[in-house]
Amino acid sequence: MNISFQLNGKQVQADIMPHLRCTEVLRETFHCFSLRCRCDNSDCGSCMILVDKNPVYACLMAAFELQNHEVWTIEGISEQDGFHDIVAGFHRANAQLCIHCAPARALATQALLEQSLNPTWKQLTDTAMSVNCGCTSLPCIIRAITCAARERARRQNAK
Amino acid sequence: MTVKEELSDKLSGRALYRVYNLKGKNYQGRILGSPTARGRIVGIKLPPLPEGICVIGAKDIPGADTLDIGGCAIPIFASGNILWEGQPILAAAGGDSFAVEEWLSKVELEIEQSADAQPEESEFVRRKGSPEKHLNTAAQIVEESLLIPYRREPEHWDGATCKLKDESYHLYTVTVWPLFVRACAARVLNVSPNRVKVSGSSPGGRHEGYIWHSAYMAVIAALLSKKADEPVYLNAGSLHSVGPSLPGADIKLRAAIREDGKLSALEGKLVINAGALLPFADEIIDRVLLGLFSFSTCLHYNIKVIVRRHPWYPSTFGPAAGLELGFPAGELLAARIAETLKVPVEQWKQDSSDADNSLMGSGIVRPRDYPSPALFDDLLTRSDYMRKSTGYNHVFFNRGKFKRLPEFYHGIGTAKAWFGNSFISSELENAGLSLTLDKQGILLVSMQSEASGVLIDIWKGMATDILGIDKVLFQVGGGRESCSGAPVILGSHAAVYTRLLDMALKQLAKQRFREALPITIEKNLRHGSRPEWSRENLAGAPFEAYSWGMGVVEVRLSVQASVVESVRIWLQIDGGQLLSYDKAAAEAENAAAAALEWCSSKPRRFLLPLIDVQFSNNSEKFRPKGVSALPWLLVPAAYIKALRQASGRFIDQLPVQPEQMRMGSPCL
Repeated sequence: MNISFQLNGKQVQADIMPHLRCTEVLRETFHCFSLRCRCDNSDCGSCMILVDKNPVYACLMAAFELQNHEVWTIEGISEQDGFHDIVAGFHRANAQLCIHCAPARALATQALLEQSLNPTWKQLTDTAMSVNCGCTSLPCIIRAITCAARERARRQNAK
Repeated sequence: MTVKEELSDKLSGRALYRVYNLKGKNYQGRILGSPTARGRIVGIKLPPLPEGICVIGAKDIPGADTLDIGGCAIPIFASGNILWEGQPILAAAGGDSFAVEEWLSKVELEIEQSADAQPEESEFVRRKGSPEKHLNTAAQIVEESLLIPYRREPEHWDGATCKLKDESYHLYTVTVWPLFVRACAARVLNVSPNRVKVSGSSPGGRHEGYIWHSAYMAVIAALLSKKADEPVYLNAGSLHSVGPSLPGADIKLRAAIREDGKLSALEGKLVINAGALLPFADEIIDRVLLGLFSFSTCLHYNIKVIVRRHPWYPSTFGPAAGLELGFPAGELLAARIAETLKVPVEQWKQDSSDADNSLMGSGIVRPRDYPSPALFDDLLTRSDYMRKSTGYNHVFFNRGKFKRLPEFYHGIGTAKAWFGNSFISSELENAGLSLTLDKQGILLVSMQSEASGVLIDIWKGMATDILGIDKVLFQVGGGRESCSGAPVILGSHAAVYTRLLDMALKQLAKQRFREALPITIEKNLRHGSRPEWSRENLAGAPFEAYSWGMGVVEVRLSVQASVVESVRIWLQIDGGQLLSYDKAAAEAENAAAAALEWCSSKPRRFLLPLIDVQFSNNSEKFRPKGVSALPWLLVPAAYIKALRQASGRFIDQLPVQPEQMRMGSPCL
């Protein structure tokens, strides 16, 4: 079946099998290798993508559900100006992330910063816990997201 | 602000996870595990094999059919007897993972279940002096027990990938010991190790218990790849979950106390519950006993140790390599004794330790860098321990007098711990390295040990700092085929090799302008006059270096819901010379959070502790020591003491279950 959707700001089309998941189509057809497929069961959260600016786990979503939606992966987000805020925030918080969860954490942070630059505690904890990885402690991740929000706010105020 | 490039690469996804990031289509591998725990395979009926799917079993292994590690032979596939539930029987691979899973689900296994499902046991005794005499004449007898259940290591989603090209195997897996994986794969595939290349990703925050599991996954992926003649990605978690388990312990102790309040004898029974196989059993048991004896000097003891092997997935070692089982039991016993004698626990420990400071625990020679009490004063000041503890104790002892129950009961606990770095065994291999500075100004460093990429980067930085040379080549492994020796695995060998490298670099710096190039310098670990570690007597010097630490944990227990609502952790760690402050701080904080998550058996969403970690260095020598294992000892021990103060209940199980807080608490 043919599907058409917007991927990282560009309109794309693909001829896919109906049983395929988003992870398989995005990785194998569109080479978005930042999507990690570790558990294939939404436990790890490493396959996070933004669909219409909402974070979703690509391993739980059928590929045909992407039809007519706007999809962002970290490949697209990292080309934007605001990505440096996230990197700077995580660096400032001394977050020693592993390569398995780092893209998903950046994406979850980006989704939060789109909503609010002054996130509540619940928003912070929800964002931190949306990706499940043992590499970094949750307090450190929350610090990193807070730092990223501050960096983003500082940059926006400077404009 | 300079942003580290690696972090940017990780966050942007450019740093690829190599296990499954092979461009092009991989075959997807899956494992079929045994549905029963004990039995004998009578027959396997395979459904017709569709095109594009290949299958392998025990008969398809060209070389050795076991992984040999730490005195255990872990079978790759079950062929006759089944040792544990989920033991791989077959593995299949194909282009479509759903088709592979469906085909495997149709395989009919005929298994004759074993009537004898009793766990296998081995038993031994560690004994010294005359404990019975002291127990019979003791002024007081104090008993304590602690149960730490066996548990599965969570978060094992990582598989392995094998790419076969020109009869050479390229394995991608999550390991910090690529040479061991290579040696295992070469033995099983019956090929020269030169034909196997291993690219290991870091386990990322998880401990090194991955050692044999990574090799296991990689070897099955290689066998599948050989059969299919295609690159294969083997996913671990599918029809049957595959992952190592951590041993548990059931500890019962009985202590004899003299009239002057000192510990005179200890009697105990330790049951170590492990999976079907327990690699490095001796080393782990040694550490359990060392942890048990770390609270006080005891020269008369009788400890019966039973290792019970259940039909579960083979075990690996925990985050502190066994110390995390024995240490909390010792601390609990110390707390119980101190409470019986009505003295503060730290004061009792100090009073009951040997006067001449020559012994630690059961007879271990106390290291020279034993930290002074002043080292930890800062921590007690930072956490305001004395004021809080006095106040909480006041509440604790006057609960019956309150007219109205408070909203929360508070508790604060401390623990002081050590972690042994490097070798434990008296059969240790001598660590050594050689430096060669050639005429082109290239420094070649060869060493026997394996080393992670991060460590090699740090060592390169050391060479640049001392010699001003930036062309440094590292040859790790030194021709050894595997890290089969326990010292390399269980100890933080980084401490020893970094020290040797530092000495060699400084010697080279002196010689380089006096002698003609090339210059070669060799350094070997010399054990000097230290007494060797005796496993039978629990005496001698088991480790090369010790890191020390103290932790304070504060908890708040809600009276209404009996829920521990907030936790603060302060840690002071003597990690010697830190090779990377950022990494050490992140590791210690992460380990503290993970230890708290484990010992409180709570989901992370209720656990966002404030963690304050500070480092100190008590040694004048350049001696880096491990830091990440200490929080696994400090946090649980301090947590249960804090809970004791808050709830009035002695904790006899780790992880602490919420029911323990709610049920039978005399003070709530």
